[in-house]
Amino acid sequence: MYIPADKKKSKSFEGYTLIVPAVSVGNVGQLASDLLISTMWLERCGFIYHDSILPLVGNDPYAHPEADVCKLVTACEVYESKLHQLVIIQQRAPFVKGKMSSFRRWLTGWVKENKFEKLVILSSMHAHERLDIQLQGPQFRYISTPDLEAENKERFTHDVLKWIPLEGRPSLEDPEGSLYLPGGGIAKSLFEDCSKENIPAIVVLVFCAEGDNAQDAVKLAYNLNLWMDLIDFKPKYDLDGKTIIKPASTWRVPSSWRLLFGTAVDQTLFH
Amino acid sequence: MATFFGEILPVISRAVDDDDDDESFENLETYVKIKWKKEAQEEMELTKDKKLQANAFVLAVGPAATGFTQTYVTHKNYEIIGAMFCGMKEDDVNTFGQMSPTDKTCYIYRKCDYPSALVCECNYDIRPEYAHSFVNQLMSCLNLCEGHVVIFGSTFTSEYKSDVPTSDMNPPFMRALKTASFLGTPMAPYLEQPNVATGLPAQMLTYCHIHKLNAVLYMCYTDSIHLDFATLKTFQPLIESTPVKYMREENKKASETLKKIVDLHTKHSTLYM
Repeated sequence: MYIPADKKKSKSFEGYTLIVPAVSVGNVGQLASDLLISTMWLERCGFIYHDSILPLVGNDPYAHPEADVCKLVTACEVYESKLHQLVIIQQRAPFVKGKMSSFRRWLTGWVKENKFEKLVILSSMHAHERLDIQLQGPQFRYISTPDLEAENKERFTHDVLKWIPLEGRPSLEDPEGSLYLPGGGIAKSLFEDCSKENIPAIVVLVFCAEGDNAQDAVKLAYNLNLWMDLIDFKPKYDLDGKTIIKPASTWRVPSSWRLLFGTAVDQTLFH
Repeated sequence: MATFFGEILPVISRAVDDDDDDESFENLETYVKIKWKKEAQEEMELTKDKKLQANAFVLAVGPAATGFTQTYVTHKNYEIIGAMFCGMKEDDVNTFGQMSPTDKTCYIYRKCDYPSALVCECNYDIRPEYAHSFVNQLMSCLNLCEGHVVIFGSTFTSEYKSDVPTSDMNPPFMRALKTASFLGTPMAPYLEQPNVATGLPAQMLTYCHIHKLNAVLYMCYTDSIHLDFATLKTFQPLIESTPVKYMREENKKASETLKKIVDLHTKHSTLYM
């Protein structure tokens, strides 16, 4: 269930966009969510407490590295931006085996109950499953429900975005080509659930392999930002066109990304 | 995936594909069961919300934490009022008889002269998948609104990530996390990013945080695979933590008790006598 952080403030998410990361190869969706939440300094507005997600607690992942306070973070939290009419879920723990469909049912119910305008699913796909044509060129793909596709077709094909729809794979059931997302976590089934329930949804993904996936996350977040126009990285100039009021910015990497490969090797091993 | 040397290795990924949903953790809700003694159940029936009033609650998870609470808290003046079982059915009978510190048990104790002080000593390896059910069942029977919760757990230093090499950290060492409602300062440094706690201690702290209860989690990082004296000693200063300081029972034979617990655990683990 969703538990608001501050029960006194009644919140309506009607018309908002919901961004959900899927636990996928390289955890790219979750890393991209981290970048969005961290760079936009989003406030946590609630928690998701569901028996399908394994337990996890830690200290504030977006805190300054030198900070010495405790701001607890749990396995699945919800962040909000009133300015952008945006809600982002961040999931830090895997699903309990066998409970993914239970979570999907709850999520689609919650989306409808709160009247979200659309659902954006951040995911990734195994790079080794790419078709020949996918081996070169942009590694970013999308797949959306027909209503969102119609609404955004011009923008997606425009020079700035140049988004490529994910190529379908012919299968025994569907020789035309169906959605094939190996390594995508719940992205495929969640997207199919949304299609059935008439929830406008779009999956954005990159092809990647397990490793240091920070750059894949930046690629995903960058493309999403081009479409949704959330963060302005360009510097802002004064009226004279020369003085800089706001310097060019970049993605803010959260402190939880530290020590990706664990503690450094103990040098006493080599003595 | 082909490696540099030309061999083919399976790809390992944390992404789980959807079709894995067919295997499931059978009956998560019913596998873990909390059973209360008759007297405790009758007391719960008498209250308005069918819950036991608890002003102080200690959850000790694992042999080090339970060894600590057995030595300094529950060794005297405490009675068993309930227990948690895995795989037991509603009408199975149990006498709450297993009493050795090394037995795989999970008992709930209550202080005889301070009935709203409860201790749950969990010596049972509860899988993280069952933690949600366990915490929900336990907390649905306790009224902890104004109370204090403390959770003790232990894990290996291999799980700890820091800039400093592990040997320089002088294990075993203690780290803490607290809920927003707890306004005091824990008796150990805060767990630094990017470290996290998982499993039953994490589930309990999550529950407390979401329901705005005062709670602190103390996690001991140890490099010893089996329970040792040093790990148990790391917990010792926490007898002054809230709410343990109100619940402890002085134990003049503390060192002997600790040694006995360590010996019992060692018997099963030495390859050589």
